[in-house]
Amino acid sequence: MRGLRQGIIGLACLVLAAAPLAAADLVVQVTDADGRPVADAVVTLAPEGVAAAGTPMPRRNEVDQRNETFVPYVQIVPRGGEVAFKNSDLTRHHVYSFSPARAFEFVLAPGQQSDPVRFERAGVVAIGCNIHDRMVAYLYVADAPWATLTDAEGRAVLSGVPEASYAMRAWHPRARPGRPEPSQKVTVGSGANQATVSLALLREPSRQLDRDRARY
Amino acid sequence: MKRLAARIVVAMTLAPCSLSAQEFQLDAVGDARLVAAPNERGWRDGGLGKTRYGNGDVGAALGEISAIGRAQLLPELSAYAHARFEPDQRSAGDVIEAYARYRPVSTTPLRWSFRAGAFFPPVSLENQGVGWTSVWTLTPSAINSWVGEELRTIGGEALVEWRGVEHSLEATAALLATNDPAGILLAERGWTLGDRPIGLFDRSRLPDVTLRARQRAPIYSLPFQEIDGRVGWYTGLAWQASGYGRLALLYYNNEADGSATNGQFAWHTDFWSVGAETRIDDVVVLGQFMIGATDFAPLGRASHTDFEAAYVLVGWDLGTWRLAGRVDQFATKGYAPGGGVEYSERGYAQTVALTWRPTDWLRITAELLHIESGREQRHLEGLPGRTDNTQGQIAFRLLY
Repeated sequence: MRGLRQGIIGLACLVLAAAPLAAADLVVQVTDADGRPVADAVVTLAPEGVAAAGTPMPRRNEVDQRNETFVPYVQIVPRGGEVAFKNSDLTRHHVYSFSPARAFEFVLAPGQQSDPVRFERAGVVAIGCNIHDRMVAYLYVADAPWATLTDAEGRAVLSGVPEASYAMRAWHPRARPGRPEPSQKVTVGSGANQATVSLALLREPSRQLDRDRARY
Repeated sequence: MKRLAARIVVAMTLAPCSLSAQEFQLDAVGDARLVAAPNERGWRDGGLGKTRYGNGDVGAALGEISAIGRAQLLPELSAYAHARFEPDQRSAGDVIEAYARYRPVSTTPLRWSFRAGAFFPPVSLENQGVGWTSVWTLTPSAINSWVGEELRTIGGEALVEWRGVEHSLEATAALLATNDPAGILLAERGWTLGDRPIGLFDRSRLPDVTLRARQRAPIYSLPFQEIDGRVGWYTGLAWQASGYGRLALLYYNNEADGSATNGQFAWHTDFWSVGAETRIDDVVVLGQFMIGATDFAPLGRASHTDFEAAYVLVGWDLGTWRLAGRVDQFATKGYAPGGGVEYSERGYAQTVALTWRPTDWLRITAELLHIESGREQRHLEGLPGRTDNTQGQIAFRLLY
């Protein structure tokens, strides 16, 4: 009888040990140095010490070109993921990047879509159009198991994160280039998990098209 | 030169016909304004006034009607042309710029491009608007008013860019012809402030009281003439730091032989220009400084004029409103052979402009421009050497 009890306890311990940790959501508020919400910021989460499989990110992505603008402005691509470029404009575009993480170029006729471009190296890939200098977009090729973008209110929600400690990083196109992404430790527990990130951003004119200015 | 320019214009005009409409982009600017001008006779009427409008005129004026076309002939080859109608220009339609640019794509930080035709040398930090307008004020600074009036690169320009992570560098070099008279306006008339860049087929009126005039007024300068067969040049460097701003340096030399003539004399003109631009949130600060000299030696009798000017512009971008203030300082100093009389000048200008942009296609700008200038040449007109010119304008600018 005593042996049976010990066996049941041992089995219970084994089952508990093998069971996945409870998962929770982490809500991150990203602001600039003045406390204003920052949209289009990338927030990544990597477990401290051990590797973990995160929430799967779409491996096939698309960047559209509409009204001489890349859409979206910032997109997260998992390392090894692909991006196809589509031209929804009535004019040609000459899409290119000279970023160390991935250099490429091709001309897209109106209505044309490119073959998928594969991104094997983590890092930021800046994209431009050699015909329309104002067009710019960014691909964030992520190594981290969790990565998401902030919305217009500067809010990012990372879902299904197991309870543990993580290194949280954030990046934005106006982050100071050449500097490491700011990193902070966050602990995800049961219940509501919230974190805040303050980014020092460069000043930059509005990206909105300004009819007054020459487009040449 | 006229034949060359005419060919360029015809080529630019015909090129879009073979393109799909999507590869041709047309912008247009129509500018009508109410003007309250100072009393002094303006330079366009042979006077020594400092503003675009003079003679105490009060009323409506047509600023310009411009059409600006850009054709993408190939992914790496584009053509640009700016044609303008303005009531005082010599021909009904004139061409401000017309050029082709070849810029192959680069997948490395280095990128090069080349353009050929007729275009402004890259001096102005103000004239970044459609049709070489300023987005901040109606009237550009003294420096860029002069660039618009007398300078045009009719030739070719190479540009090499190095696009770094934190910084970018640009190096440019150009060869130019047919700009031999450049400098005569600074020596004979002095600095002015006006938003009327001269067209390739136009002419500039010199003051009726110019010392060297043997002709009767009106006397004109044709700015785009090749007189001595020499090739001019300029070279420049620019540095840009992400989020901080831009610093640009340029040296220009038209290499003209000041003793050469084809009925009109060449003026050997060279200058340095340095400019800086930065933005602090919604506030933009621009500054430029130019220093140079122009020489003229008819029959071996050399005269020399040093010139310099500077301005600082502060612009505040408030969404549908833009407010700008600018202060200018300008000077010339003339030296004549054998103690002869040459005229020097020293002056200051203050400009305040408020622009309202209620829709995508309408800009309403109110501008007040005050200029103080001391130039003894005015004595020849029976006027005091010192003058104050104040010009008020409200411009309605339609954009297409």
